[in-house]
Amino acid sequence: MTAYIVRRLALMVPLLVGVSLVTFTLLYLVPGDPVQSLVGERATPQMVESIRRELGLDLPLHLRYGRWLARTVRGDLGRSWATHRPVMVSLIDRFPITLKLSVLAFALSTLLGVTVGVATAVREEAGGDHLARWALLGGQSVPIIYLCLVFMYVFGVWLRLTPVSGLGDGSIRYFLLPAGALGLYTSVYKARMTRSAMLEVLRQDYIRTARAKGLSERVVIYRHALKNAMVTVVTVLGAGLSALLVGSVLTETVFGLPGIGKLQIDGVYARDFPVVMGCFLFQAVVLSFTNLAMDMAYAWANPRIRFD
Amino acid sequence: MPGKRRQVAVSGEEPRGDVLVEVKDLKKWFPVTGGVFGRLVGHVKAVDGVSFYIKPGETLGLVGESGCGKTTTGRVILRLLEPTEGAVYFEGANIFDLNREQMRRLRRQMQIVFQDPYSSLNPRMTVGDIVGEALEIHGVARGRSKEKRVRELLDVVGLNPQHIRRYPHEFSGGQRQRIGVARALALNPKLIICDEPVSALDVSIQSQILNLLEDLQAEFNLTYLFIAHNLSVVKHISDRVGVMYLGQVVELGGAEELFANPLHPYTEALLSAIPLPDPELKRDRIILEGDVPSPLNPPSGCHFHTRCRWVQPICRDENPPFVDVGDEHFVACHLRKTREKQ
Repeated sequence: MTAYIVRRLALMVPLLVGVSLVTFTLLYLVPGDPVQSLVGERATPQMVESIRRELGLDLPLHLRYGRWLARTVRGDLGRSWATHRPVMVSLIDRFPITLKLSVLAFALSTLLGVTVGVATAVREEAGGDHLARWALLGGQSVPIIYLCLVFMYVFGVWLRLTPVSGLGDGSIRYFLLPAGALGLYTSVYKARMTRSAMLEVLRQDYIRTARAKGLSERVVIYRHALKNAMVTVVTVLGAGLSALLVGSVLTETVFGLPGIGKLQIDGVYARDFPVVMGCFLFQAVVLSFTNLAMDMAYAWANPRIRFD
Repeated sequence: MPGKRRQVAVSGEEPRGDVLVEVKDLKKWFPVTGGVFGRLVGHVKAVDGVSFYIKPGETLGLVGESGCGKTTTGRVILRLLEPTEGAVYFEGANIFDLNREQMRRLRRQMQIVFQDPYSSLNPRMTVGDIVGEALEIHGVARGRSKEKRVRELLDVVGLNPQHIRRYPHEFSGGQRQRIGVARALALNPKLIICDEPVSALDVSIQSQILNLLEDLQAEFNLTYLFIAHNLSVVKHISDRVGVMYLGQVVELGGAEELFANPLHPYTEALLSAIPLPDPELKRDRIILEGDVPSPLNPPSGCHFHTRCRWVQPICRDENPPFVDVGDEHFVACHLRKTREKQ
């Protein structure tokens, strides 16, 4: 087990180098001149040229990447071209916001998704099942931005239960709406996956065996069926969690939450290379760790998996 | 409408006293829906008026082609499926009258071994949990004593008791079926329904499991309902044999008697299909024409009349009664009498 983890961690190094290389090249190819957007329209050509040289943008791609890599392995992600803040500091500042949003949304969507999935699977083809499935289909078809706006209007403006947007003092009240919208939105897929996994499992003979043993229906559903269905569902949960942790650009933007997603999208608009690179690298690391945790969860869910 | 109501020779309002299980006019129809609004378009008559009884300590074999309702019959008897009509008396009490809690308690008395030893064991549980769970649920044993009992059971079915912490996937097919048998035995049931317990196994393993089942029957005085499509297996293990066709039992009798003297044309055809071990020997095969009709819309009268070589006008109109022709040999055929005279 330890050997496995060490090997997985070692494998992250080439992975991160690969990710950074691809992102760096893509940024290089992106249209739009970063210097121009930094200095604005009225700068003289000499000024533009000197800034370009200062930032090293006059160098060819491989040299620029080499310089970035050399600095990064020493733990220095550079400073934002726009604000001159160290990128690392921005990431550390903003990650707790994304983390809080993600954990809340994840807990809500898992609870909702798995519960609805199990309930609809157990009452397959009953009226409630149909209703829930239509509702889920509707939920999946609505864009997240729209859902965010509806939440803002209903809970923030109309019912005045929560702040409409912004971070405020960073207390949990400000996260209720974005996490609610995000959680509801991401629960749909989980519910559908749970439902189909449960239906698959409920058809198995070992469920009949469990009933023949004289177990109560609750034990049959939760201990025998759901535990087996979770083997499939854990995949979706893991993927969902990593998708949340890397920052939800749309939700953070709509609700004005300064998380990783917002940092990244602002960086992209400003062609702020160090920020964008820092975000991508950070997200790759987060994804790698979530995946590793997910594989551990698989082993918990399925005794047929062994690490060696 | 399925012909006239079938007369049942074993019936009488009171359940028989000397039997462990009595199945009376059992029906299980599955609704078939179609279209956008799930309109009811018909019923699959998987079990369509089945009656028989099983005496304590005997093995009743149930044979028939795929889809004839054998498995459904077994599952309804255990109330893993709710019946459409009919009754199952277990030790004199109709199990369909029991409430949930009473039914749960009755499950100690009747167990099942499934066909597929791969899908019938929960892959996330250890052998110890699979075999021992029922002991705990029914308050028979827990903790230490549960583990002791599980080890005993594993030993009884010929598995290594040390393997109690292993998962099902670490065993072979035959071993897994032994786990299934150990699980069924755990609560000391009186009746075990064996739903094609050897069909999924290699031929060499089949005989091992059959011998195990026979040994266990002798040791624990078990009663078996043995469902199979392999006639040789059924003949070998059964005291009496019932033959099913399209949701009905067409013939039922002592194993020796039935195989030596089949009275229903369908039984005759089935028996003629058993391969003989001697290549020199030839036998007149009775080849049935056509396919089994759909249970969605079974033929009128005798369900077998569309493929019967002796078919008469009466067969199309009337469902033949299931009558005892002597010595507990039952048959449902209009032509039994006339053919005897020939």
